Amino acid sequence: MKIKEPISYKLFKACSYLLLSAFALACLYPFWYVLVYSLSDGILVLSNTGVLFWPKGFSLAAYEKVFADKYIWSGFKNTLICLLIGVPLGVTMNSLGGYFMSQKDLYWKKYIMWYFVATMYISGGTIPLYHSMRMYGMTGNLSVVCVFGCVAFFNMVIMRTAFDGIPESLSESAKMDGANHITILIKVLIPLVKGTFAVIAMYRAVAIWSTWYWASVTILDKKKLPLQSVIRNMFDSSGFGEEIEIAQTKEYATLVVSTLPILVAYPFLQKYFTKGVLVGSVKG
Amino acid sequence: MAYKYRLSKEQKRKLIVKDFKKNWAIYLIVLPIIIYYLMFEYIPMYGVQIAFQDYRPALGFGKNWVGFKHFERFFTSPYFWRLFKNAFLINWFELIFSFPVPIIIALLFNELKSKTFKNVANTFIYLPHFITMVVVCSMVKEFVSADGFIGQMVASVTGVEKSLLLQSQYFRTVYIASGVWQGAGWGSIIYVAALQGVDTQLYDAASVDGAGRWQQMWHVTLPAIAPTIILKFILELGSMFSTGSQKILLLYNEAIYDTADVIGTYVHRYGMQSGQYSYSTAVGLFSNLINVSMFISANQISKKVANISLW
Repeated sequence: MKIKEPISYKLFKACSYLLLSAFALACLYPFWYVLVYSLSDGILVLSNTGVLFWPKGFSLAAYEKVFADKYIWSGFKNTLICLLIGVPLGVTMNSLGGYFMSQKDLYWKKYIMWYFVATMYISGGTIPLYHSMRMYGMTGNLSVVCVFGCVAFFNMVIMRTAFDGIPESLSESAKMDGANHITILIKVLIPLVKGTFAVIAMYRAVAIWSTWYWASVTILDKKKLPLQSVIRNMFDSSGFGEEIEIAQTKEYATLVVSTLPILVAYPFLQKYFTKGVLVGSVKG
Repeated sequence: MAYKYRLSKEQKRKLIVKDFKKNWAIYLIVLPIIIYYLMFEYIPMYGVQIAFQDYRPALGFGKNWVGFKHFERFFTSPYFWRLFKNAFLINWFELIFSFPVPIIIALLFNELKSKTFKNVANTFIYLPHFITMVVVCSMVKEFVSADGFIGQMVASVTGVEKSLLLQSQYFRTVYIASGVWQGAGWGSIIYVAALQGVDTQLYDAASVDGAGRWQQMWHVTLPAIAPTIILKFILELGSMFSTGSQKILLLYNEAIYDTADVIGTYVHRYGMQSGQYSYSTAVGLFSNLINVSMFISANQISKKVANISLW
């Protein structure tokens, strides 16, 4: 049975398409503007008013400037180092935590869970945290970027949910064969939850890639800053000591260059992040 | 493990020893996590004591107790009300303008059939979520500056050729609009997921009963996502006085403190920049207390009114 759609509904549907298309384009346009601006001629584009759809003139001078900037290179390098250390650390820690949470009949489990959960309500705040980090020698270097945030209750819960979905008989039989917990975790469980494992890895990668605050606040040596802190500094003191005609386009070119890695990884990010949200929301 | 009767001390001790003998390896596995929480949560909590002292790094903890001096200084500070007012207004306008947008997006998507359109549109509207805060704020700063395209558009109406971020009346608009741009598309995911769980038979039944599309949306679609909406709403209400300070730190400047300054940024300036550790810790502690009690009461209210709670 096919019911004919009334005209009002057709109109409504057309409006839905229209509104969503408009929103989607509005989401995209700023990126296009940044790209077009960065490729424009530095002097011509200064006289531009209003929106921009194509480059005004064409020049790669801004990109040459960006690639000649030593802080941008060191920023990329430092962020890469943090990713190489921080992502494996994060997935290891959260897997261990998730594995612990998926265990049953532990006398201390209830208390340890409280120990974790309580920190979601009470916290020391920024300044005491800073003092603690200074005490551990984590200020002034990149370790704060690699380590801080490597464990998150939410991520451990996501791992736990994945482990809970595996039949218990599998790890039981491995135990019979004399496997210890680490072997069970690495050889039996993690290969079965590769997708979730990837979700956690992506979460950590994006978090480390984005982080700037503690590095900006504690690291004084500019060569040691991660990329985001370098960009932040550039836009904080925008244009000082540089020829004005190139300063503006250079800033836009920096934004393009620093966003490129995210755009390359975007298909994966979208897939796994969507999955992560859904796993998280099922569990509440 | 649930016990129907109280264990004697001796029994309890035996139980603990037995549990440890059997499960020591698992406790060893969770040890790194426990240490992490100790280092980054519990030891900082111990450090909160400096809120009641005149702390100097050279002297260490536990000296120069001054009671509530720093709290009194904050309560009588001319900035006290401004900080709460700013946080409240930002949250209030977010609740009105940002909160409904993801819901509307999800409802609109729900009316459409074309898979290709959905996929393409999703790819576009999720993208800003993955751009880092630093880059987003840098973009915003450029766009609203005197020669950015948004700044120029506004200037052509008002005649004031100045970055919007140097005029305090625009800060909230810039903050909230950029938030919608960055987060609304991504925020719609959980509503879309909730809508996918709706039994299509419900729609069929409704249309047999003569319900039009509007009535279906009102009586079938909305009730399906109502729990998610309420849950999100509770979280928003519970954080009415807390705002993430990182985005504001990236956007604001001295000229617009009167609308942009919130507790987090104030603590940052006094603690990290001027080194007034004790005072800023006291301010942070006070705002933490407010936020936790707001959160708990929001949850309590929703438990009573809607029978939905976070725990």
